[in-house]
Amino acid sequence: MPEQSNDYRVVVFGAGGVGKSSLVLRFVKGTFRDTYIPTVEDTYRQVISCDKSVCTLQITDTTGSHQFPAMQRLSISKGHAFILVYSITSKQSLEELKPIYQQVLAIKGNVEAIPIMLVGNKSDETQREVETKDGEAQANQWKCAFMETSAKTNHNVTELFQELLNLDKKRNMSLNIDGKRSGKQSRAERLKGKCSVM
Amino acid sequence: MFPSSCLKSHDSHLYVCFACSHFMTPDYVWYVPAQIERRMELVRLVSHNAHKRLVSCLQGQLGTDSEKRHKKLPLTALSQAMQEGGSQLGDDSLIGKMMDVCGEAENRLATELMHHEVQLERDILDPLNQLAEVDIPNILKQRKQLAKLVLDYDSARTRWYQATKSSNQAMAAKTDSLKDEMDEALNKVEICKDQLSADLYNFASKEGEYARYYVTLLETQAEYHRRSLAALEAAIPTIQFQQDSWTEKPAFGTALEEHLKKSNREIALPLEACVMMLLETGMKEEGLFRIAAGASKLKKLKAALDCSTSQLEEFYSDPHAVAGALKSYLRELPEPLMTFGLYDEWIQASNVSDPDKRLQALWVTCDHLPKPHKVNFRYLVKFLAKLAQDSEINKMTPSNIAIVLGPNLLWAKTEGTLAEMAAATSVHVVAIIEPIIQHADWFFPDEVDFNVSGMFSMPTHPATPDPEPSLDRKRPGSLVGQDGDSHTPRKDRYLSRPNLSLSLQESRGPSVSALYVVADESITVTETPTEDLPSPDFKAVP
Repeated sequence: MPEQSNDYRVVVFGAGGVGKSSLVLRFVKGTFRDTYIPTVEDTYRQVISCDKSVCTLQITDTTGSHQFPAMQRLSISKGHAFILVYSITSKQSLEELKPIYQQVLAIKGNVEAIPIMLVGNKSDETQREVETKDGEAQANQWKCAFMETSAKTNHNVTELFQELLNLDKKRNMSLNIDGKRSGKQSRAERLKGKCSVM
Repeated sequence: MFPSSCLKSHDSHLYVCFACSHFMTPDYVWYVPAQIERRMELVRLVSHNAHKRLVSCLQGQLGTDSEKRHKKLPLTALSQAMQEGGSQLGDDSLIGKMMDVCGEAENRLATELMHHEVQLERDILDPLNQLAEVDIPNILKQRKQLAKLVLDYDSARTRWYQATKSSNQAMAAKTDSLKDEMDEALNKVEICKDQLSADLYNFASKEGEYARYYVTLLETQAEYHRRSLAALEAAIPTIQFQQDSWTEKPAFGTALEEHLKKSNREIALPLEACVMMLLETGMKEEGLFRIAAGASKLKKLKAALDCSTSQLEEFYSDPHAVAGALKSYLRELPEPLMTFGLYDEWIQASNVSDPDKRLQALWVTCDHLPKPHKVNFRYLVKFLAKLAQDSEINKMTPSNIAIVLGPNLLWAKTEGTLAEMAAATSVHVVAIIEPIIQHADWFFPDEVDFNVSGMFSMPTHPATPDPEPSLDRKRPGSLVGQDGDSHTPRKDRYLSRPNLSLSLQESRGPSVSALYVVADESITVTETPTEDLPSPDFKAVP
């Protein structure tokens, strides 16, 4: 196996249809598509700064619809950080994360040093089934971070990834390539500007 | 001087020398070699121990009659409990039947054991006991008796000797009577000695017989085990037959052919049940087969489907659980529905670049499916095509269905050990399944009646008639335009494996230039085994 270079690998897990791909696509492309396409497995890359140099943030968008244990184990053992996504409109989707969390726990052993973010997506939806405090309670139990997001309205998406990187205490990472910690808002603006240029 | 028999062997020599001591001078008569006594005692002791240990091996009560013995055996109690259990459960229950058959067998074993123990007692335990507790002690007792008689004789002789030497007249007169006494004592010694000699001869000659007890023991045990084995072997085919003739075997995890044969069905029970339920309530459900069902609901439904007598009504309201159960059933098959044998052929067919020829290749492969697989595959594909007709509402286009269901229909035999292979496989499988669903009516022109067995209620809307029952193996022109519409944006996913490295090169080219334009903008590389790729491109970033 070739040298792992300095890739930082984030794996996104969650039940089918909770918006894993939408979150990732919103983050890497800044777009939201209202189409309905399940994912097999996709990997995206983005350059970030890490300990005053650049490295590649590699995001693996997994499938929620058919979990083959071997593939899941492989993703977990390769991953540095994990995003566990549920939909606030489905209690069931939060339930689905429990076995995945257990699997991470089993493979990584001690999860305290591993950045894990529990994410309640679709926060723009009105038909809520999971209250914010329920998500927080689950995150407390798992000793991981928590956030509610909306890929559709771009709420908390960039923040989610930056927070996840901040959780890693071993590295000093930033989404900002030049190392300057500019404000999140201005960064979002900049992103949009670049997109329009393209 | 000794008779030749004395010299036969070392062992018998000792006994016989003692026994035939009347050839020696009387002074030697009372000489009993200590090792003979020790040896007799040793034989007695080891025989006693062997007897004791063997008795503790017996399960029945020693010395009781055979009927009582049989009743007291633990095996008999087991047999009775089983037969009672069997009659309580009745013949409708497989467990009940099995307990009955098994109980009978155990009873036969108990009878064998009882006969064995009775025989052991008669042929080995009793003789051993006789030897250790009666025969040898008697001999030893006699030897003590002889020693006493020898002493008596000795003192009589001393008295007579002194009398002959005495000058005393009175004493001399007594000489005759003392002589008589001495003769009588000698006579007694002789009698006792003869008796003892006879016993010792007897013992010596019987050593072979005593040793034989141990041969008999093993023979008896072997015979017992043979008879028990025969009883078991007679019982096993019966009980196995009962087991095999029981049709209610779990469908999940059982090979398709076996399940169909056992249940005498054409379409697998979980497949038909789920399809019938979904036709009723699931066709308009958004994300059917994509959205996960409640784990406990799913478990309950799977268990219910494994047990054909259960009620399924409650699941009509939970189409995601039904879809999940169907997915589980397909995934848990020991061999995928599209078979291991045709795996390479499927992959090859999907790699054909010309779309028409690809469809032809897929059709040929489909035709190679073994009949049970083909019939069930056709049933499923027809249903999925019907589901896709409602994709406006349920969002499940052939492409989407292929993505979520495909990996449950075909996988390589090595899956699990080579997870990366599996990841690549998923992509292939989607490329195989999607066109088959898309062109279901071309692959399978005949209409399918989903209600095969009539076990499940009819759907409210019967299957729509097939508009093109054409047997023409050419791809219908009317379908050409539809192909790819739904998945064009994701075309890059369906890279065929041999082209994988090339395609990755291509897809990375533009990524690099994008990187230079906007250094912190996103780069998207769509591929699967990411780890194997060196990333020199990214090191060029300033």
